[in-house]
Formats: sequence, C-alpha cells, structure tokens
Amino acid sequence: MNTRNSHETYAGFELVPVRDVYEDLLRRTLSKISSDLARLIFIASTRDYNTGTYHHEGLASRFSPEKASEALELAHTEIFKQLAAYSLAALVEEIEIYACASRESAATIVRTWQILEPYRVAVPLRLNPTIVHVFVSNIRLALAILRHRQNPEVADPSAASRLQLLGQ
Amino acid sequence: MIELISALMVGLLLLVVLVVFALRQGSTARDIHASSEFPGDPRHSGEFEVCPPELVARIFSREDWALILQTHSPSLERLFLQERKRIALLWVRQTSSDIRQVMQNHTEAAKQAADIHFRTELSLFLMYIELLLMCGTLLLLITAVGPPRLQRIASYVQELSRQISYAHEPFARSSPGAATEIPTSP
Repeated sequence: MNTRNSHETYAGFELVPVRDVYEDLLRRTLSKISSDLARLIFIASTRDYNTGTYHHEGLASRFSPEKASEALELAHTEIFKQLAAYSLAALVEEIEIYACASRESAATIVRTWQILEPYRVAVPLRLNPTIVHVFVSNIRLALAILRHRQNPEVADPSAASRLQLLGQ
Repeated sequence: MIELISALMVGLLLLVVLVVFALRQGSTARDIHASSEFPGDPRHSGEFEVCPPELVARIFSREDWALILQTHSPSLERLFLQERKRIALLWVRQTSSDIRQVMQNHTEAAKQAADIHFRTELSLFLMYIELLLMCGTLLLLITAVGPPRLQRIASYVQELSRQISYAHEPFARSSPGAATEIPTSP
C-alpha cells in the first residue's frame, strides 16, 4: 500500500493510498448498490478472469489503473468476508433483495443459481479457504431455504430443481 | 487404590489417543488444502490467514439451526447438519494444522534465540498440547452431536489458537524467515 505524499505524481496520476481509492469507490459506486450481495457480484464482474486483475474506468481515470485494481480487490475481499459471516436469515434476505432488483422472478433466480452456482465466480483469489467454504455452503443453504419457502411440498429443496433441469 | 490407578491409566491412554488423533488430523488438513476446489487455497496465494472469530461463531451458530428448525423440513435439517459438519471439521483440521506449523516455526526460531524464558516456553507448550487435545475432542463431538451445540468449545479453541499465535509473534518478527510466518488476526 502506498502511503507517500498525495502531491507526488506518477504517469500523470496523483499518488494516493489505496485506502483513499477504496473510500472513493465506496462513496461513489458501491453505496448506490442496493445490497451487499449485489455489491459483491458487481465487484467480481470487474475482474478479468484471465489475469485476476480488476478494471474500473471511472476509478482508473481518477487515480490509476493499478490503484483502482488494488482498491477493487480490497473491496472484494472485505465484502466477501462480511457476507461469509452473515446469518442464514440475513443471507436469505440478501438474495431476496437481489432478486427484487433484477428483472427475473425470485423462483427463476433460485433455480438457476442452484444449478449453475454462479456465486462461485465471486470468490476472491487470496483468502483463507475456510472462509470461502463457509460462503459457498451458506449460499447453498440460503437457496435451499428460499426454494422450500417458494415450494414447501418439494421433498428435497436443495437438489430437486437441479435434477429436474439437468434432465431436460 | 487399584481402581484409582486403573482410572489414571485409562485417562492417560485416552489422552495419548486424542493427541495422536489430533496430530493425524493435522496431516489430513494439508491433504485437504492440496485438493481444495476454491481459489482461496493457500497453494494459490502462498499465505495463510487465521479464520476470524465471527466466522467460527457462524459455523457453530445456533441461530442458523433455529431458522432451519422453523421450516419443519427434514431434508433441510439434514442438508444443514451435513454442510455445517463438513465446514466445522475443515476448520478444526485447518486450525490444528496451522498451529502445528506455528509451533514448528517457533521451535526453529527458539533454537536461534539468545534469551529463552523457560516458563514462557513451558506455558506455550502446554497451551499447544491443550489445543491439540481440544481439537481432537472437537472432531469427535462434531461428528457425534453436530456443530450447533459446540459453539462455546469452538470459541475456546479459536481463542487458544489466537493466544499461541500471539505468543509466537515476537519470535516470528525477529527470525530471518519472518516473511513466511503465519500471520495472526487481532
């Protein structure tokens, strides 16, 4: 992390600590997103799958591409850790808020997520494996709870939809 | 008198079994790390990070179990216990393995240190043995009764591992290989 004087410049960019870039990201972008889960998915979508580096045009133009990438990585890790420690009730609510904000029905999202498990893509690169396992496991459980609420007569809310759709 | 000696012998035997079990679980944890499916795997990052206490509380959460019970769904209950047992066992094995690594580093650092305090070293060693025993006990209990009933023991194990890591910190800072030591969480 760079802690040098903010008056210094490099390649036309003012040198500022990553924490300042992170604060800017929180204030200007992440605060406008409705839930922590949506924030996580947004940040993960700014990551290049080939290199693992993050890209954000606005942030890169205000600071530098490197600082923007570092700040996004920091934000990604922070929000992921927060979500991993969420209670199941809070996580269920997060998925519901996310579903409400999207154009798809909650039932479709739950079914699709149970099959494709797209939340695995939102895992940060450098993190304690136990935290990652807790996050993935809790999302799986939260989806099963939602599936049960939507369709209580389904005998196995964790796998029924998955088996049905895989058989199609 | 004979009964007392028998009880002591059984207790000692149990202690040895638990230590051996905990030590064996440590090597299993390394196998788990080596076959992990997630990018959080230390093979990718080259570093460890101690699990935060709030996450340990989540793994052994009674609140989550209560939510599942409210659904009155046997399949959800099964899924929950299955998932939490898996994660809890992983955490105990990882903790046991990480602390063994800390102690190995500590032994190496202590060999080169000029001022060793016997009482501090003894207390650290006893804490280490206690942690291994607690890890062994926790592994058995997780399988037997499930994680939601073990929150207090899990918190104790977490605190003990944090204390051992802290006790090792001054050595880690002064040793030449300090950069490769396991970092500790506050």
